[in-house]
Amino acid sequence: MWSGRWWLLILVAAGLAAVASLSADAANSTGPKGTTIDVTVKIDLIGDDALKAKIERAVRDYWNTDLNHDGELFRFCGKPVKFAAKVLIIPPGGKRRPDAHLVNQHTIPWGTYAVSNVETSEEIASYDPTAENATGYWSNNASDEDVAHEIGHLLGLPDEYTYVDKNDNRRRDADEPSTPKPEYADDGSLMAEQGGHTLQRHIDEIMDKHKVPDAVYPCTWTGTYDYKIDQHILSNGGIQQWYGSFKIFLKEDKSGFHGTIEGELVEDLNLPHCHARTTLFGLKADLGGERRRPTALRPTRSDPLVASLELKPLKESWIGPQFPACANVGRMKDPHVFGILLPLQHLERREEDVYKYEKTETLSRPGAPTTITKKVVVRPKR
Amino acid sequence: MGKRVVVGAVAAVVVVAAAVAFLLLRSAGSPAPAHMSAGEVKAAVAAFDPGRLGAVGELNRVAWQAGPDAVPALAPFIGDPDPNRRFAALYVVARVARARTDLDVLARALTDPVPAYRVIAAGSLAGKGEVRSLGILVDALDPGGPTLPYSDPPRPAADLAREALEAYTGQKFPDATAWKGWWGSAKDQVRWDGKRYVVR
Repeated sequence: MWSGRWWLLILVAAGLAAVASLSADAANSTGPKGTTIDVTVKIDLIGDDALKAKIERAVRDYWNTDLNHDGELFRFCGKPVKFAAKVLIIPPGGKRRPDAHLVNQHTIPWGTYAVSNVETSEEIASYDPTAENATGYWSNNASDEDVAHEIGHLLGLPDEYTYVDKNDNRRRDADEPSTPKPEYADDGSLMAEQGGHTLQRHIDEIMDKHKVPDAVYPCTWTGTYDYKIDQHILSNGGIQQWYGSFKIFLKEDKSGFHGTIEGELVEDLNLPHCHARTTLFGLKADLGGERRRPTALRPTRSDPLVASLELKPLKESWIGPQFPACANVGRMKDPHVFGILLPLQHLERREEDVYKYEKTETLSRPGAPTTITKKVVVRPKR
Repeated sequence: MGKRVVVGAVAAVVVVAAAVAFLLLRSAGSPAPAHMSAGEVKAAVAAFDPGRLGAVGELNRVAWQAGPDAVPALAPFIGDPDPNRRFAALYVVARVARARTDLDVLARALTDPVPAYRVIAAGSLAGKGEVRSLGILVDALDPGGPTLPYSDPPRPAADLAREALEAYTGQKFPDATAWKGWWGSAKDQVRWDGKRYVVR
């Protein structure tokens, strides 16, 4: 008796209501705000101002600063990731926000033991922090680092430690000690051990858990890498130059940087009596490197991503009348592994979507110290 | 047609109202730290199974809601052969013990075969004026000692020992050796003045 339009209207209304109720569940939210990715964690706290302040301090000191603790934010796909805790103190039995985690404060004297923890309906590794509110018990005596660790759980990160199963019963008994999981034993993780730090891989995992889409935050980069070396030749005052322009394509993901570099490297020998110009390499190489927060570094930071490139000779040509004086030019005939320090941190995203870097630095090479001028201009792929 | 409009509108309103009610219901009150009876606490501790998801959270909830009246009920568990049950009982008793008889129950854990349990008992007793706890805390400062059960992130028992010693003696030393030196010279003169230990 009802027309199709009314059923449609009801379905739409129901759908909207369902969406509204689902979104209201999310204690954590993310979103672009200006040039940052904002991650907000809402916490209803049955506790005091001191623990609230500790939570805010933990966010500032552990989540909103990279390993250098210099106020630089971690980045994801070139964008700074900014965390915020919105903590509301509520009385016991008080009304909770529907979209907030709940933290109960253990108020205990010094020396009394309390475990700080976060509980979810399933293992935290499977927990969706955008859809489910967690419950925690945190001690008033917990350190800032402990609180930062628990916030890591609210952000969806699991523990990265395990236990020594002394009696082989496959459960962690109370008298069995903890130990970092072997795969995390050496990287000083906040989620694995005391004295640990927030790491780039944590940021990556949080972005995954919060479904930050690559489409919104592009993770591919293209650009050019202009390379130039001037070396004074001691005997006669001539200048030997190597230069080239390489096109770069990079993809950034959790496993690191992957891409290609393509171009030519030319050697130019400018001597008083000789001018030899040789195309040393036609390069098309895979580019890769560990993801060591390179985009979280300032341009002045001397922490470049090291990428080893295999350069293969393309052709050789001689220009100039006095061959004997130029005899050393053709020495790179064979395939040669040539290391380039590629400063990926300079692929930093800026408002105008143009990435520029110019810097002169000294690179140790066999022979005399060499001056290198590098210029990188990179634009994000649209 | 007019009847259809009315029915359709009513249906849409009902659906939206149901969604609003759903939201309101979900914004329910937070759990008040209601007092758990001694029997409930005892049952929860007896059932503590660390292999179960959420077991530590449940133990925290019990400790949060337990009162001092739970101590007599938990006293038999302090000497239980099962180390998990012993820990669960100790965890709650160390939180709520107040009376002299409660402290005597807690003090039985000072000789527990599990070193971390001894530190938990001593840490709590240190704040109650139990001088005998100090020596156990000083001994626990040695590096390479046990971690505290289920601490998250893993925390050495030595940390808890140092926290208690610094809080209640007013002393601060850089390492276990220095603490042992202090304790060696002070242990026969230490007295509790109601708030902290003083050396007379």
